[in-house]
Amino acid sequence: MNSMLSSLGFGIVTASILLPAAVGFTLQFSATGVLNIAFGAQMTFAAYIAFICTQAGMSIWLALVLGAVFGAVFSALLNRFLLARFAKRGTTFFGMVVVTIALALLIEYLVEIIWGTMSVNYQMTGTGVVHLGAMSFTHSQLVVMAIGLGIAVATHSLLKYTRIGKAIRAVASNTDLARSSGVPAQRITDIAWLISGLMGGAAGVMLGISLSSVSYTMGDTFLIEIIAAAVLGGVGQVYGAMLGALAIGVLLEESAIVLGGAYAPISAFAVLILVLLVRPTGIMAGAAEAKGIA
Amino acid sequence: MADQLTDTPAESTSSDSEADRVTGAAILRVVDLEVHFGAVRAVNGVSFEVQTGTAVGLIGPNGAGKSTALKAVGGETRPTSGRVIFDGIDLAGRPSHVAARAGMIRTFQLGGEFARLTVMENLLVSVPRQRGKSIWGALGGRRWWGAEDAAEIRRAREILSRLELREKENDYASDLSGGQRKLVEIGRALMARPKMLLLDEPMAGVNRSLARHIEHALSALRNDGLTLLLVEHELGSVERLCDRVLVMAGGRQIASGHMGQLRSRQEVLDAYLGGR
Amino acid sequence: MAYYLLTLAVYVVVGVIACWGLNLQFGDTGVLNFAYILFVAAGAYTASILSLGHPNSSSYQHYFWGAHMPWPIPWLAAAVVGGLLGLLVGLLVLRRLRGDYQAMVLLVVSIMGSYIVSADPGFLNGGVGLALIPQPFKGVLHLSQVGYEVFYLALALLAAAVVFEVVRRIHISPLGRVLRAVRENEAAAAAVGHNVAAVKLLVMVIGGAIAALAGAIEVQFIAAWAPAGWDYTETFGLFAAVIVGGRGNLGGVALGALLVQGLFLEGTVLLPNIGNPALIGAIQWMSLGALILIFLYFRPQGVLPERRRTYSSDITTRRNRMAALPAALTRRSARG
Ligand SMILES: Nc1ncnc2c1ncn2[C@@H]1O[C@H](COP(=O)(O)OP(=O)(O)OP(=O)(O)O)[C@@H](O)[C@H]1O
Ligand SMILES: [Mg+2]
Repeated sequence: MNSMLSSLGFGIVTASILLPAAVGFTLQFSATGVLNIAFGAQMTFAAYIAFICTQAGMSIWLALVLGAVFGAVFSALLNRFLLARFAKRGTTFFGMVVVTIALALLIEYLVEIIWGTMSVNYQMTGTGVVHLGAMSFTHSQLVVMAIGLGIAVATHSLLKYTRIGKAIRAVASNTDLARSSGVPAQRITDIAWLISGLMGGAAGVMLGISLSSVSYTMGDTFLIEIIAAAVLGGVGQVYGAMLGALAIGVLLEESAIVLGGAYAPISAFAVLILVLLVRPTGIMAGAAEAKGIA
Repeated sequence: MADQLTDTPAESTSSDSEADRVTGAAILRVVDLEVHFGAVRAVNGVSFEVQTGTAVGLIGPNGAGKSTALKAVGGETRPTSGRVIFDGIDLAGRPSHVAARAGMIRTFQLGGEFARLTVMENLLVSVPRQRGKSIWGALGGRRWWGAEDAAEIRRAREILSRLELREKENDYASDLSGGQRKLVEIGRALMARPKMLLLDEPMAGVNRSLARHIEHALSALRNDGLTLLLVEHELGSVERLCDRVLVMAGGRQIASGHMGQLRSRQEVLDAYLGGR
Repeated sequence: MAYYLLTLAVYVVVGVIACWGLNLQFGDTGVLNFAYILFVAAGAYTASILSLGHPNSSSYQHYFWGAHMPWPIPWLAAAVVGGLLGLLVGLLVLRRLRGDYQAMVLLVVSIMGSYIVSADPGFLNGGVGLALIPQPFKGVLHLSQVGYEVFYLALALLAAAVVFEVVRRIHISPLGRVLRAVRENEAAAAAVGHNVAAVKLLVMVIGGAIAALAGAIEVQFIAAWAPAGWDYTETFGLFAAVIVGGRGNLGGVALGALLVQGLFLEGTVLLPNIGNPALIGAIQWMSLGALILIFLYFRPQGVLPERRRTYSSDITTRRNRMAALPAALTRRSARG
């Protein structure tokens, strides 16, 4: 029982990393209609940029900010100079998926060429442990959780209270309608890529902090968990993605205790598939149902 | 019956009075149809019947719910509630291939063609129960399905000739004009040997001469005895083609009758001019 | 050198077979099966345990069940297992899920498959994988190494001929038109009476069987099989081959498999060795990514695009179908 509680703690940490990633992934997908398989590779890239920053003597938290900013800029540039051009050529939904797959290969192996296949470590100081009942967290894990929570709140306020956020929601729920009613969809698309890059970048560095190492396949492996969280929540559903992140995060760590580490991802994905059999469009089905993806 | 559509030329070219048309029982009965999208009630309690061999028009302002009603009847959209009884079978909630196999083929308001298939292939796709369309039939090779396919190709050519698309046979559907694509869709529907067509704005966005051509083609089909349910904004065509017209607005059915009578009805004018 | 070229030839034949199966799903029907490599793996494992013999016969590797069956039973059984897996995955994924969910869930399924195999060492020897898989007729033939390679290549070509005939017959048949209609417009295909889910299920089964056969041929050649060899990224290599060669064109797909699978992925070993092998691997994968991007941008229809099918007034003759080829070659399109 105690071990289940303590793994609940790990689950929450994992969920805190999954949360920005899944939210960024799903937000960008619903606003732009591009299923971005390169998202994991982009996370890895940002995590390595943060690694360079720590090498240069910066604190890990400053590195996190820079990693996230790099992620945002990189993502926006990818869209502007690559994806938007394919879209302009009339590349179909599935064509775009293949484009992002190719991008994932390019980024992942570029990272491998630059930094090699050995994993690297962030230089972190002051890693004390805090006990909360049966759960114990390192200081950095606590900060990771705080950041996850902060991003959840920030996303909520962005979507709810700002004009840009409302416009994103409008485009996400119905691109044609939003376009015909004067929302500048082009700018929204840019912003969506920027935000998803920011969140992915932050999540990449957070993952590196939590694993206390960074490797070139890190984001790629994590992508599956992101997709699971996003699909579980209902693709395009920001709050669904938050719930999905929590569910997948906790499930992964709990099943690691109950079934053993090797089976943890299997049980999490089995749950995902079972849920989809019952609710084919995720927990938060609804608006996404009406959208209809070509 | 459907075979005659293409084999016999239209004999009675214009007969607008209902009296001399053979009309049987209702082939389609729609009862209390509702389609909701979240809070949007796109179709909000619509009931009507279509008599065998007649043409019924469905008109109304933009967003009235006409396309949604047609999709719900044809099975693409699942109705929230209500019944769709076609040829004695309740099709409500059944997928669209079931409706199509029962003999009810829907055309699309936009983008219904198979873009990277040729016009001929667009037509051949909808031939029902073809030998070469099952996996074992296909593996049997051309010797097993070739002769039957050749017969269907001839039938497709006849339909294309009637639609004046014969020369376009080998063009990709994506290379045709909007109006020609609508014609391809009509031809494709006919290849399925249907009992009834659900047509969603077959003349919208088509230049005037092509629109008249489409109207004539539909008129000939109606005279051959095919049942039509037609959504259309061009009221002149609706008046010439349809025996009866239903008016929808805001998801509801607000009037029905002959087009001639409806033109003067206040609620119809309000619906169109009021924009709701 | 002859030995090496023969090895390469077998790899290429395996790649061509796998790509034909993928083309049936992706090129013809538009099903984006990101779990394709899982079917190759299923075939490889099936053929392995059906030729390795009883699990207790070796002490250093563990697998749940095994038998010692003569060729061609391991290959045929692999195809059956691949088809059944296609049925299972198809029923799970294709029936109720929307297109974009399907693609994502299939990716998840592929990775789950390799986690499952890696997690349980008693199932298929875990992450280490199976080794020393017997080769067909190796013991009875008493051929030289090169001689046996020639023999195996002939077996592989035989299988390729059978697969080609199957996909060709589907391709030219009225069923092939239905597959392409589903690819072009699912809603319209349904509206003229086709059960889209059933059509997709069919290509999952047939494509799965073909993939599994390719896996069986590969595993009895290299005699070893482990999860690292069927990472989900391998699926993208096959996609690249189909896109580069020309989806929807059987000859094009074979050409793509030759170019990408043969020259690109395997043939780089022929190059002078620069630096460490990891670097070469990374450069290979990066060039693969770049190749996909370049083709999707400049020539989305591939080297040999899908042919326009025309029907002469009589029954179509081979000659005038060939005559349509040059016209198709010069066509350009921006459709992805
Ligand atoms: N998939 C959907 N999700 C949400 N709302 C929808 C959906 N399809 C249609 N609607 C809404 O339902 C209403 C009716 O739409 P419908 O397309 O049926 O109108 P219509 O009468 O065919 O209009 P038009 O003449 O412009 O074609 C509209 O308000 C539309 O926005
Ligand atoms: Mg409409």
